[in-house]
Amino acid sequence: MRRRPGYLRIYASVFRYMSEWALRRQLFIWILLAAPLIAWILPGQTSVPFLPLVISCITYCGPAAFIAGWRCSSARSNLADILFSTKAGKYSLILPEILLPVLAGVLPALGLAILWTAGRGGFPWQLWVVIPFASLTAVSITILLEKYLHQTGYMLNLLAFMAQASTASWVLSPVFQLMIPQGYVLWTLRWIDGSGAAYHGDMYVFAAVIQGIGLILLTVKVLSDSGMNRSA
Amino acid sequence: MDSSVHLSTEELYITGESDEPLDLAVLAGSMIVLLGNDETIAPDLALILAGRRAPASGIVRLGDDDLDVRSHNARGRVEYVSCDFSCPPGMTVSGHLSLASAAAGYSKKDTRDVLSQLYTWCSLENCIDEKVNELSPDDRYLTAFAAACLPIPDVFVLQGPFPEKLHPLLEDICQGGCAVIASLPEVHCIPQSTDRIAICDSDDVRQIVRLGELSDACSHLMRLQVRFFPVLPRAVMESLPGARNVLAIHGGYEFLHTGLSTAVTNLVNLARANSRQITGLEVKPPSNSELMEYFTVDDEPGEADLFCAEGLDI
Repeated sequence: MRRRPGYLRIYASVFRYMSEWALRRQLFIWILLAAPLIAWILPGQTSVPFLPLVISCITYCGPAAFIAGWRCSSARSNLADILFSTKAGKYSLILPEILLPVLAGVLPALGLAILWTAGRGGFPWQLWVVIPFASLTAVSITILLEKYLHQTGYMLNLLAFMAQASTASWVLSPVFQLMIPQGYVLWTLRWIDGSGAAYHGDMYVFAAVIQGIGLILLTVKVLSDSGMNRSA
Repeated sequence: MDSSVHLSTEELYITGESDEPLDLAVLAGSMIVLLGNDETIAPDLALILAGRRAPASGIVRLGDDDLDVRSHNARGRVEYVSCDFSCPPGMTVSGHLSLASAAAGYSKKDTRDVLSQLYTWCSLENCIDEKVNELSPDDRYLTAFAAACLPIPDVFVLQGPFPEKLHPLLEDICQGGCAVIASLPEVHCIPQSTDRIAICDSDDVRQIVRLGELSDACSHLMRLQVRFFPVLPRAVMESLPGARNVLAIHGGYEFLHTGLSTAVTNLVNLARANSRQITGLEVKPPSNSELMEYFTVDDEPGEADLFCAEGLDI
């Protein structure tokens, strides 16, 4: 008798063990707490209000801090050993392990964004789209940088975010705004506020969607290759 | 016993250095042991038969469906149990088996019933809420084995050595019609219910023998170590009937003997006759290389056997 695997129960288990793993790491907590403050202090003369910076930071740094180191962890390889060879298959691990950090970024960021836009005439649709895709991109970039650059990847990831949050004139150049995906949410928020965005909000949405989809395909390939040794 | 083939190989070359393709069929209800340590191809062959590793060339087929063991549809039909199994930190035995049962497709209600039966059968009742990574190696292996039982596979591939508590469970499984393939490093790890033993070296499977044949070889090649107090003179020791290749060791001797019970009886008589006490007696099984030499000695090129000439009416 062959029945469908209980995917929801599997996802719940993966969420649980992944959260336990993440909360054991001090790095995770520190990045979450420190990144918005550093990003705010770093430019010094910033014209970016604190709340948009926090929304942008949670959207990006939350998922990035959550997933950093997970791919190579023993917890992940043990779960892959348990799940990859079952009928549930490798996607029963890959889907929740991407979804959980994305949700960890999206839910608080959307909540704060709703608060921030309350006095500005409603919540524009661009934010609904750009926030989830920015979180998805954060997960992808972290995993890909980790695979190809190891520890250096984390630093590069964080520095790119800091640059995006900066108000330096070179950062304000139109090309830069579409080159570095870390700050799409920030630029969308600035566009809503009418302060310094080079493009219409739709452009940031378009770039976030394209990058989010493209990078996640690469990420899924990387994650499915880095489990137990099974190619089928 | 159901005689259908659960697993078979077709033109299977395990490594690039293999001389000949491996022709192996694993019948329902049978147990085959791949004998060899980590330096031989036995662990790799187990992974290949479980579909966890690609062979150098050839195919491992599952059942009568002609299904490649590495295909998606074969999942759940071949289960692999590793000897270095571990879980994510904090995962308990019940947590692990609940996850495995969800992956195997049991509903929440069925899971409770199935797991309670499984805990009893695998003697895991006392460690349900314990963390898997903190269990003894034996209980951890049993937990991995219990999880492998959940999809009700056709073939179990086990990486040994595994606890002796598992031997009766494997016998039950074989009686139920499943096939078992076990990769084991030493002769003394082989369960009593094994049907065939594939003796492996670093490149290939050198010989496949039945348990009876291996048993005969072991009794022929086993070495006994005996220690006396006071020490027995070598000349007296060499007079022991049936003893061959007598070597002096600290406080005693090591020798070959074809019959264990005869050897022990003779040793006791020898000690009594010479007013000695036996202070130590140890039976050492033959090493894998000795077994390989024993079974492959006839394959060496040399003079033609006489019975061949008889057949040719010369």
